[in-house]
Amino acid sequence: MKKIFVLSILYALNACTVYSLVEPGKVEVGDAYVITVNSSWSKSSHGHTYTFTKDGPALQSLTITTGIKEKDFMVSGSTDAPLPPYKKDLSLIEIQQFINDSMVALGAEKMEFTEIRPEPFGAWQGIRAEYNYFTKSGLQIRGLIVAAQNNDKFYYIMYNAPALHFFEKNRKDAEDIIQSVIIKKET
Amino acid sequence: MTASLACRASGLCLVLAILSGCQATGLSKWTPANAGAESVSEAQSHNAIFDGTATVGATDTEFEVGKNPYAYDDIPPGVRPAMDTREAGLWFSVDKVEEQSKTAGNRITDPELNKYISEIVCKLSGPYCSDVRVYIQRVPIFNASMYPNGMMSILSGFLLRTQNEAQLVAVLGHEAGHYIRRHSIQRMEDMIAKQDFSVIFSFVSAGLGVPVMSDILQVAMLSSLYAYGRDNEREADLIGINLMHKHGYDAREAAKIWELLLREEDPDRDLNEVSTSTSFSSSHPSSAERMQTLRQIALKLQGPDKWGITNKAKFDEIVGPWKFQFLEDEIRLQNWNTSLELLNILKESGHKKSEIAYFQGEIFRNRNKKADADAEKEEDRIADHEKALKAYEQSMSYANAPPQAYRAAGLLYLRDGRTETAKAALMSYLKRMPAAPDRKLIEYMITNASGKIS
Repeated sequence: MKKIFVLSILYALNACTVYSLVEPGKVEVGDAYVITVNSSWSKSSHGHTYTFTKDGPALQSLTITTGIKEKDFMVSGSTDAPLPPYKKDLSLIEIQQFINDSMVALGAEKMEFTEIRPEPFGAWQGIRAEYNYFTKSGLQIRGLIVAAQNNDKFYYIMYNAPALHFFEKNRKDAEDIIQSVIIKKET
Repeated sequence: MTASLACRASGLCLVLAILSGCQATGLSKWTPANAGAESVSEAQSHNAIFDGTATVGATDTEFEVGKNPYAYDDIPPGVRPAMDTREAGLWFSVDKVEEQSKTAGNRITDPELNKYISEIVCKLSGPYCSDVRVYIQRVPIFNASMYPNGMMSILSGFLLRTQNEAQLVAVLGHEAGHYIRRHSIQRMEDMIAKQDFSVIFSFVSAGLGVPVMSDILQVAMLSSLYAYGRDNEREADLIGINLMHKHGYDAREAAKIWELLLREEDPDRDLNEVSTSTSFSSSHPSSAERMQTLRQIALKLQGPDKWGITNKAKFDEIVGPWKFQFLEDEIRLQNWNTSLELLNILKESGHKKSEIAYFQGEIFRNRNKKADADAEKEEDRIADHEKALKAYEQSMSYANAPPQAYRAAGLLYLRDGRTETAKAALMSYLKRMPAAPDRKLIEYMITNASGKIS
């Protein structure tokens, strides 16, 4: 009994994210789409997003959303500034601005887009953006995101990693997952 | 523990200071006679101070209008506290904060801006020039802070709201005053001494069977601690305005900072009627009190007919170009009405009209408030969409319109189904910003003339 109590306390104190192993193969993302994973990742869930990582989320994170409804936020978690709520029927320009404002509210400093272009998300027309930003402590992060809207929901897959070494290390893995998106059905 | 221009989280500041956990070795020589005073009477007493012979009521301070700001002997220039002192511990903890600030992601490292502000700080700090180091941070909040080891933090939200070099000097001089007078260590010593007294009093009152006295004492102690902090701020204001005057700046600009802040908070407020009272738990005097006090001091220093310099042209040349991105940060806070009034203030101070109109459009477009059918005012009946479009069009009517105004207008034209007008606006955007990172996206939108996602 004492052991269980101690373990419970330790677990509660830990209060950390629970990860599960994702083996290579197909992964269903909510009701909307399926991705194919070519190598092993660790996966955690937070609200309407999954986070995949290999070495820890500070070294690389692939955020995959199951779909964001109107008035919901792109990401969950505490922020310094108010997060912009998602509004349906954003134009392509506004999608990029929504991403930018959400990232800045999350604490991305000196957020700078290097390229923004149209790109499909599975069968849906969307945008792709590449960007740089700095963390509060000054670490430079590179990222890329592919996002789209369908039936009043917002979907995205976003890859972030330190610009030094880690971004390029798993970039191809991330790109392969983005390219593998297959829409399950028209939701 | 820092002394800041406008710390909004005063309770947190106090808790952090208590957690510093240093041992008391005695009180500093500067102690406020008014500790424990509060509210209107406190503010009035301070206003009275500045129109008389002008010592602030403290027994041993020389807190005077017109006093040489470098004549205090609290800390000699160019030294660090001895290692066996409590102050050295405080400096050491802040040195670590400074190390983090050097590489912080939000630090603005632009050489020209840093040189400009650092040179002003050096001029104001006089013999303490080499002791004070400036860190400019991109944070959309009106604040600047002085750390006990000489680290001065300046936030972009303050620079955005400053209209000329004289206003900048009023605040930088205020922060330099905190350093010269060692306010951080004074506050910490005051806190520790009061805590010590509180512990002893609690034992005694419990022993006498009246523990409720302990609770009363706690409230009185907190009130006293905050009042002490407010006195530090008043003294720093005075040092700041003395420094302005000493260096030939127009001292009236010091009060204007607070006047504009009050206006930003509530544009309909009558500044002649605004209350100067301060809550007992405020770390700083009210903006209204500071405005009124600084007005009186400026009058005393300069007289009614003399003017000082503002160096607005130089300020606009160096700081002006930064205000575009500072406004982008400001609008992300989603404080729509405050930001609209801030734009009005910036417009009056001579900021580019094309940028003002663009950001008004950004506020309306992002706010996107629907038209209220029951609204009495005509203005309120117009949906934000229309207001935004009108603002963008106004911005585009100026030759120096930001390229982003054309992109935003194109977006709204698309929403209205005005395809050809939208295409023209988007093409104008690309023409004005050939290296735009979203070029391919805009070209796609022009080609498809929709912009909507299927």
